[in-house]
Amino acid sequence: MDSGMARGIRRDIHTLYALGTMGGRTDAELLERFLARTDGDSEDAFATLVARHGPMVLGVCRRMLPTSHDAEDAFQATFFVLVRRAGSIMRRERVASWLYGVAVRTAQVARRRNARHRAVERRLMDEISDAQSEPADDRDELLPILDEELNRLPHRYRAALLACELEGKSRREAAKQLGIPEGTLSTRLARGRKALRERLQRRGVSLGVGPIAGLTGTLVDNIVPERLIGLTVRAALSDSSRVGATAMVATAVSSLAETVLKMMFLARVGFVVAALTTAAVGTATVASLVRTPAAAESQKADPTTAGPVARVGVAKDGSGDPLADGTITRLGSIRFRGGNQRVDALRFSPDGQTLVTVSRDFLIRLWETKTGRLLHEVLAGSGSVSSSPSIAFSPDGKQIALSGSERAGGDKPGYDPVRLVVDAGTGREVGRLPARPGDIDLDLAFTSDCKSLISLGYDGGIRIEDIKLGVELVHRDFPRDGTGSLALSPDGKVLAIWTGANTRKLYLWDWQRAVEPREAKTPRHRIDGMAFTSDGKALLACDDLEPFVYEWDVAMGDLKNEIALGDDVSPDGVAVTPDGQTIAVTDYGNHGGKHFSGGVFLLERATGKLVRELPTPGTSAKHVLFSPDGRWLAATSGMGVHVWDWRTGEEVAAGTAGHRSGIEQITTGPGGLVATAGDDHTVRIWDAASGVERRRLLHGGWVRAIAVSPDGKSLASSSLDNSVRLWDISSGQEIYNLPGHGLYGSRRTVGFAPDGGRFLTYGDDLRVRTWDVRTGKALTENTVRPPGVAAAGDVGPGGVPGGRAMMQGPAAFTPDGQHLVAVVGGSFHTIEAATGLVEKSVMHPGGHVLSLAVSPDGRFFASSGSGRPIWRNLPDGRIQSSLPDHHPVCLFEMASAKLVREFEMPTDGAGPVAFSVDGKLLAIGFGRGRGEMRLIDLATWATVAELKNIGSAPHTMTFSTDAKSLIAGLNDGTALVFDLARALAPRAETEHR
Amino acid sequence: MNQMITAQKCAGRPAALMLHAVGVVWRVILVSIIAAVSFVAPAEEPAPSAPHAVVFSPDGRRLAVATGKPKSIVALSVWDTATLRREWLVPDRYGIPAVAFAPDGRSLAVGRINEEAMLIDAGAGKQRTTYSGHGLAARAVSFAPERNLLAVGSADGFIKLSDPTRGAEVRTLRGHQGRVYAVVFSRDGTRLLSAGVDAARVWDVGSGREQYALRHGSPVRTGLFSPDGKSVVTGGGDATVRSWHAESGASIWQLNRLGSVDALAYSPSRDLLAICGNGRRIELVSPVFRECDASQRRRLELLFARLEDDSYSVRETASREILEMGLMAEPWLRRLMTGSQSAEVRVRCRFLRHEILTVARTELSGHRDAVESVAISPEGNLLASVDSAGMVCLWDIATRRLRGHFTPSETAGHFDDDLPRGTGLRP
Repeated sequence: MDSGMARGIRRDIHTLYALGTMGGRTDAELLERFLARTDGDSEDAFATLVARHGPMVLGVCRRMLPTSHDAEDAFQATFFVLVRRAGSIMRRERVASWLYGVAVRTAQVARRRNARHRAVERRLMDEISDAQSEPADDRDELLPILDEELNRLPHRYRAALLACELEGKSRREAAKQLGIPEGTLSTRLARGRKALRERLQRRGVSLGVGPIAGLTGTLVDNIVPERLIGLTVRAALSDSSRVGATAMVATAVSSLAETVLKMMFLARVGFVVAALTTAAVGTATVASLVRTPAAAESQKADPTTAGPVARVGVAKDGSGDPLADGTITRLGSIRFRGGNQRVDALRFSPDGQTLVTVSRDFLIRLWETKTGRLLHEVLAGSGSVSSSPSIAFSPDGKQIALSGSERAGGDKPGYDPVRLVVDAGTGREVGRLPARPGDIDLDLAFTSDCKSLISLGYDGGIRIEDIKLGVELVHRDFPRDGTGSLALSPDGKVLAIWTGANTRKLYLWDWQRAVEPREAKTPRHRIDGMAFTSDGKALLACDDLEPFVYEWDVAMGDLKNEIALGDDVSPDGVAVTPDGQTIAVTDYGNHGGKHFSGGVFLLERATGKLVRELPTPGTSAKHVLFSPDGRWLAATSGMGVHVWDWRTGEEVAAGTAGHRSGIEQITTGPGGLVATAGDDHTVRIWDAASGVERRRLLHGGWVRAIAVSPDGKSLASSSLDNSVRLWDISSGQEIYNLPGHGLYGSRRTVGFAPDGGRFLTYGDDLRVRTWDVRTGKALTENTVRPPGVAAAGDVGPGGVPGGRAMMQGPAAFTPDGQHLVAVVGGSFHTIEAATGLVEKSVMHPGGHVLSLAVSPDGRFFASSGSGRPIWRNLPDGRIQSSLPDHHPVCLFEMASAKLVREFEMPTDGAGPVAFSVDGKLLAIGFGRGRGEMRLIDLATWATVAELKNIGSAPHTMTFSTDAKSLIAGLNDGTALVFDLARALAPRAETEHR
Repeated sequence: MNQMITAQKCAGRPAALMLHAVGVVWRVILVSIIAAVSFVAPAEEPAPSAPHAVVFSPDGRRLAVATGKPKSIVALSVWDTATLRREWLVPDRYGIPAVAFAPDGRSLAVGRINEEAMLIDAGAGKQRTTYSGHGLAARAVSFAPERNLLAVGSADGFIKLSDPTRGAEVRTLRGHQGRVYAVVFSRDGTRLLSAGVDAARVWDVGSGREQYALRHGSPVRTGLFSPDGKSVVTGGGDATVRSWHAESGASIWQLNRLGSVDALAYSPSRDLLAICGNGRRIELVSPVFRECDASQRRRLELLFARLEDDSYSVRETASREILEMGLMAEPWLRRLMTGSQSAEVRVRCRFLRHEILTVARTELSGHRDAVESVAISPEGNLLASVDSAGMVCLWDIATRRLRGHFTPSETAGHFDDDLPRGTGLRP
């Protein structure tokens, strides 16, 4: 060994790297040779790897560690790890990417160790860093973040970025090294750059165009001293053969390498366990519970290195779905819930066992029909797709075509159209059709052989294109309208084309035979939701506005039947059972603007007789579908899907479903009582410990505010049914039904006085009322007239405040019931509750205010709102507005209405704020998509806990009265109860986990 | 000019001159064709269209149905309300936008699109007299109940009063800026109410002077006088029905509805106002013009005192009873909702008033398209309505049930139940 080693080092390593026998080989080949462990060859291969990737590794270490000494230790340790774990690198062409990951981890471990010893070594450290590395400018602070985020990118992107951006290789070199074609490399580079930029933005680092290029200079200038390469190769190889290891390797380096190796092993085990549990329980919602280091100065430091926390015995909610670590229970169920986005299309598998849904953010979900369990969830496309895409399922249910617009790349404003075909199971792209600039598809359908896609363009053109070849096979123009839709008969022969609301023509086209489309007779009104019967003989559609369903004879093109629905029904979609006997019609449910509660009506097709009514309270139902076996009926509504066994009328997973709409407010009472108010017209009373729903209180409209009396016996609620009600919690009985704050608007507030004798209500009719709990009588009523806002007066009958309701923001009563803080016209106003007089006003520093909370002692109030919109002048003269990618959370002093502190939250998705019971902590919820929460210690302003990936964006938050848990109501209609002690507990060191 | 110069140059060469002259003639012809075409082209506006209208004869035995929609096969038809048979019809390719029975029931006045109004024999449908000179379309016609006077409102804003027996024009009322949708005389024939695109106006018939204008902030589509002539009700495109003092034009109350209020009809015997302004449904409101008598006043005072009771159930019962009093309680509610000392009374009064003024209590439902016109028979037992598709429904007011229906192109109507109505998802 000694002689082999000596032979290796005798060579000029640089020459070897550049010109020698190894220089031209790919990483994978080098690794193979190294692993073959043949003398000489093996060493040469390893030395080449060190020389090739050394600059990158050293760069990482230098950027993340303050002294060059530490950096060199980490450099060596990284290659030690390579020697030890080379055999386990699955994809050998990814050595660079793998090494990069190891380097980042090693540097993180080293940094944490440094921090621990810093108190002792501070002086010394300072001297060293002064001497060896120049004081950091902003960019130096960003570099560790860059490395961490780069490390989190998917392998293929990271490898491409590493090779081209950080190692500064040419495209050709890099492609060869990675063993992929140059074209693929370019794509990966572009996507990788975009993903990295987004990730960095989320961490508050904003980079201009070609950002990474800007950093490349810094990143590649890490020439590795030959001394270090030699030392590393020697030490690493001697270590690997375990001969004279201690003599060769510094203890610091070997212990660093050991720690990293242990971490990697644990991470792998963790990953395997996680994968097993995920497969076993079939969920993708394993959240991570992460706590940032308590040390104040390390707030900027890496907040999370831990992957998903996986435990073997995962806690479960009432319907058997798993809960993330640190979550006590879930109020409600996630079954058939779509998260944050409206479900836009759905399809049953041919056997009816699985339901596939696609939401407009291109998220594809597979559900088990009979239980509502989420089987699989996958994102199609790049994930930056704009709203209102067209979606079509292939007849075999295996492919999904999606057409929408994607945020334009680079600095280009606006959106580019995109048309994808993805695999319904994996979400992987299987085809991409050429998109016509400026034209979007209004509707899509697959041909019956699943090989071509039929699209109706905005220009009124029907195009039939081959998916594989991307070639247009048929093109025919119909009247341009911009609102049309299409349907294909089950045998794929007849295409029904509705040209739209403006042109109002219906064509039936036997498109495979070269015949002219036939124009079918249309009713007076517009139609919507076309559906063919399974025999293809009849076409059904519902009226867009009026309560009718029309039926056409496809062969003749005649309007042969008209089924009248009830007067109040506004149909939106229609479906017919496979046997053709029964039709289902969805109800948009806006009953003259009075109530808002949709549903599905089942009617006998021949007679129009009502068979059954399946309500979807609080939300409108839109798309509707029967399973091919005729057993199930699925309808999209609000954020989720409703599935019924339609013959019995029984809804799947309805028993434990909880709210079927977003939760508007959560409040807690003594004895673990939690009350939630939802847009599904209900207030629900829960037991926080068990997650069991105790009572359901029914309103006639969206419930917008609730409060529990101090003794926990009664609850006051305010709803858009224009009522305020007082309830007895233990019996669920309504005590009083009192005049509310109008049918319109949306902001309502309720509070109890501390003695429990009075309760207060405020709404966007700008009236504040005090009520006597005993008699239910109004004690005071006053109109709030904030400065600069039009006086309420009695303009509209019933105090409907007209346009002013739009300016209303949230409001909250102080705990003593004396004051009210209300947002009107973009300003906070403190108001005396008994008189309605405005005392102080202060502007919100950002845009809209979304949430408001008053501290338990009544001295402060906190708010969360969107950032100020950014207005940009586009070159073509238009003005584009966008929201900044951060938003403010503010703390104000109540008495003076002065801003005390403003925090910047890292996303544009503002969420709720809540004070802890002792008033020491402020909980902030934010984020789009899966949602995040943060706890801030108001004494030190330090972030003491972070909860990430909680499942859906939080809308309301509160602490339990016993101060033991934090409860968040999410946009998907569920609420999560978090163990506060677990969230605040010091996190175990990652390496000991 | 150029041509002249060219012509001078060519003077010595006859052949060339000939050719040139032909060229000039062609050019002239071409230019005149283009001019003619461009002159004709803008005249092709969409044909003027007006909604359907229904009106009962003074004896209530006949119903006239007119439509101002172009290309209607039957522009005007008269029906027997008892047998639902068509008596006669008048075709008119432009449609007939307005119709009114004379007080004696022997003749019918119709407005026409082509600048004239016509008097028709009600028995046989034969034309009697034609009144021309009505500018554009004659959109509104009405007879004064006791005086021999016919009012015709036209699309250019003039209202002409004429003597129907002699056919002589008596007076022209000028003041409307734009189309007049409806004209109606007060019961004593001294005043005329006209509803127009700019406002509703009340005129003194004797002097021809405008007394005041009633504004909705959008077109006023319809209006009528109370039986005692003391108040006026108008309905407009702003989705409100408003009541006004006939003397001063001061606003009394206002009902808020969801859609443009297109027609109103009033039954004096039942104090019932029919409103069509909510799509397919006809709403019935009562009481509209009745004032409280002494006992009702006492009862209201008692009920308002109970609104302050400590017992929730007493307050609720009183609220319900006040609600049943309807518009009669409105002046009290209006006063107390701002004037009461008690917050409870203020809150409840505002709430009740809102309920009375916005929420429809009784509705007739069965039409499948938006109702365009409504009429109540003089005895007050029948209500006729017509929707935009031309279907006419006859309702029994007492039972609120549909008696029969027909479309003008049929020769006979259908009684009661064979109307394809809603399947009754929501009764």
